[in-house]
Amino acid sequence: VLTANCPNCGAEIVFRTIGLPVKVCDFCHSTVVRSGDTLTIAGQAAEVPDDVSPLQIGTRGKDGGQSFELIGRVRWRWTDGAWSEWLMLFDDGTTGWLGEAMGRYMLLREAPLEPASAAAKTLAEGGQPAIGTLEQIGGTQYTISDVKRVSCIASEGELPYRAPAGLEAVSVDLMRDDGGCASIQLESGTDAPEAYAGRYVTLADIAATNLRAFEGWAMPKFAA
Amino acid sequence: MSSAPPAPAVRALNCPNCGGAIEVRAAGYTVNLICGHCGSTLDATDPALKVIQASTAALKRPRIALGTHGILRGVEWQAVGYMERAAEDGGWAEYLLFNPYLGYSFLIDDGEAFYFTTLLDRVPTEGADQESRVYQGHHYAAAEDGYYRATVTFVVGEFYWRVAVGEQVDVTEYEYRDYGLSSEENADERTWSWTEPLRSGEAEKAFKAGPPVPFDSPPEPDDGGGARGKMAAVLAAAAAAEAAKEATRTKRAASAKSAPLKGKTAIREEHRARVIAIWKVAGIALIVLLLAAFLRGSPKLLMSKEVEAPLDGPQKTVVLGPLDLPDSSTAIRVEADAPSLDNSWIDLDYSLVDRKTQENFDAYGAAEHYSGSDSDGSWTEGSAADAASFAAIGKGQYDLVVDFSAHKWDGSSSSPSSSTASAIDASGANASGQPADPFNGLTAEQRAELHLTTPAAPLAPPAKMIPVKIDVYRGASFFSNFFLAFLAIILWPPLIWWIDRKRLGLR
Repeated sequence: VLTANCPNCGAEIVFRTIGLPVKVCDFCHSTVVRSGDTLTIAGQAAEVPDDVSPLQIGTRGKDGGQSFELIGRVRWRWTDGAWSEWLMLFDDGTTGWLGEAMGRYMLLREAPLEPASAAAKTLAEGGQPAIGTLEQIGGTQYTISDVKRVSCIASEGELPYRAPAGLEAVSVDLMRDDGGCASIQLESGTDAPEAYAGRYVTLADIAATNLRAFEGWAMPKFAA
Repeated sequence: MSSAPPAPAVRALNCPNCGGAIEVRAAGYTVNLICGHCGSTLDATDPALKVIQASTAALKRPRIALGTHGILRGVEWQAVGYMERAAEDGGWAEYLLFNPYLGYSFLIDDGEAFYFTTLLDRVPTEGADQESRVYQGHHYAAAEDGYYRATVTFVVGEFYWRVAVGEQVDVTEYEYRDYGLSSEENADERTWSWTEPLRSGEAEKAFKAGPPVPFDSPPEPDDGGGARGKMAAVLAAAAAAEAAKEATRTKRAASAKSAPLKGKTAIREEHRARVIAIWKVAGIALIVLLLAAFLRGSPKLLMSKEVEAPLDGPQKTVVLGPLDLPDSSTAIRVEADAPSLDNSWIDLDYSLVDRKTQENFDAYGAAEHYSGSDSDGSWTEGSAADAASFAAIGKGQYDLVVDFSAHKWDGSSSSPSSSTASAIDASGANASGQPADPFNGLTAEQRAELHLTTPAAPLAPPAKMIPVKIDVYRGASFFSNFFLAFLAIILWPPLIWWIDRKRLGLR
């Protein structure tokens, strides 16, 4: 854990892990980038609009034997909707993403694309891979189920990269018949897509705690 | 755990087309919002709530007011969207249900009964013949006329997709007993869902449903294939199967009549031999049955617990365990008794969880007791005791998780709905400004919502506690089965004897 002061507003900012270079200040929403001991301001992050997501920074959960805590979030939108990607920091210091869309959750960890990945090649050339084609990620086969151009609406907390509002990307969703799912993302202006693989989970599956409470709703028993 | 005050779950807005008060109940997830006043479709992903399609239609109100919370099988849901869909020869209604912690599910009303539909996050595996699907270990056969095109005919409320009247999907249905498995397919995607029937009155009571409303008429016939109303298809398939059975029976009877041309004595001998053989088989079956009953022993009380359910209070959970089941297949019966129930009911949601594998088996129960008096004198209805059973539970150590909640039945219940009337009333009160009001600062819609969803608000008196006794028995349901089996075995030989004589024309 690394504690510093926001170069913009002076509020205390905490870096939970040395591995993540970006932190959005909780108070002034400045994007603070850390390089060694130097902190620089890289613009203002947009505030995440109000929603009824039960997740929040500080929500904890378990994946198998490992505990994690949500420490950051990026909110994306496309023409027909929006979704959130929550950064999970595991107890062993590794990270993953908990995707939240349409009331469903995808627990994903970074996984390698095949060197000869057709989807990676197409994306790098500025194209969009076709829905229904097969793709190997981390040695497992998935089917491409959705491809869309997305843009970042807002971000908060600690992040592995800068996510200013308006950041554009191509997002590819992949699925398996057994509940497995994966995602490939290519930020615009880059040519090296990153892949994440995992599975669909429920909040009960991951024994989520420290969830947000809502007026008129009982906290589920696993989280109470 | 440090907990922030509960965040408002409802956002109050005004329709940019008609100015009417509207509510967003699933902010962040909702994509399309259809105004309940004018029917305009609004883009909920746009902060300005852009009008996608303006409308001035006078909208009918669904049986279940949008915004209503209800507990179904122990889980709380809120009705946030309503659509009617139709196929070639029938229509049905679908409510989109939402819970911030669980996401979405559907409540289907075919005009006669309600069904609960869960969205699946995986594709059920194909059966051996490719015409069937396997889900949770059960074989779902393709439903007769179970392929049709469904078209949205009416829509109001909020949805997580760009719903629109005229939207079409191709539906394929599979069935196992009363359960349905279906896929909905359009050009972009194919989604799978699982449907279970609800008991009569279950959803109506949970969501305070009004009388049925006529569904919008189905669209002009197109080339959508053997189209049928979703549940109508299931019923039709059952009727067809029954008809087919009847036809086979008639055919068999006809062929039997034209069969025998042997001598009377030979026929009599044959008949005698057959009846003796059947009695022998029945005798062996009877011995096996009695032996099994002897080895199983009588029903045994495994565990008993007394709990208290707060009337109209939050749902509570109790865990009974461990239950050690030494046999490879044990029937479990759970009895709940709440003798003090009066004009109220208790929902009981049972989940038997294997400690080792975490595999769970669900069952549901409800104890209810109502009384009152009318022109015919006083009346009572329902039973304050309830029993639920699990059949054939495997060997292992289990916990029985019981979620229970008690609800007061209010005969003349007129709950504040999301209708404009209550919203306007409340905002009138708000405008007059009362500084002492603890809920000051909330919008009219949030007030209506609070009142609607938390009857036990801080100002209400403490909830009355209803004692409930929960007993868990092992092997209990076996005895009713035993009796049925016994009866079947005993009746079988005389039945065959009689049929055989009839068939052979013996007197």
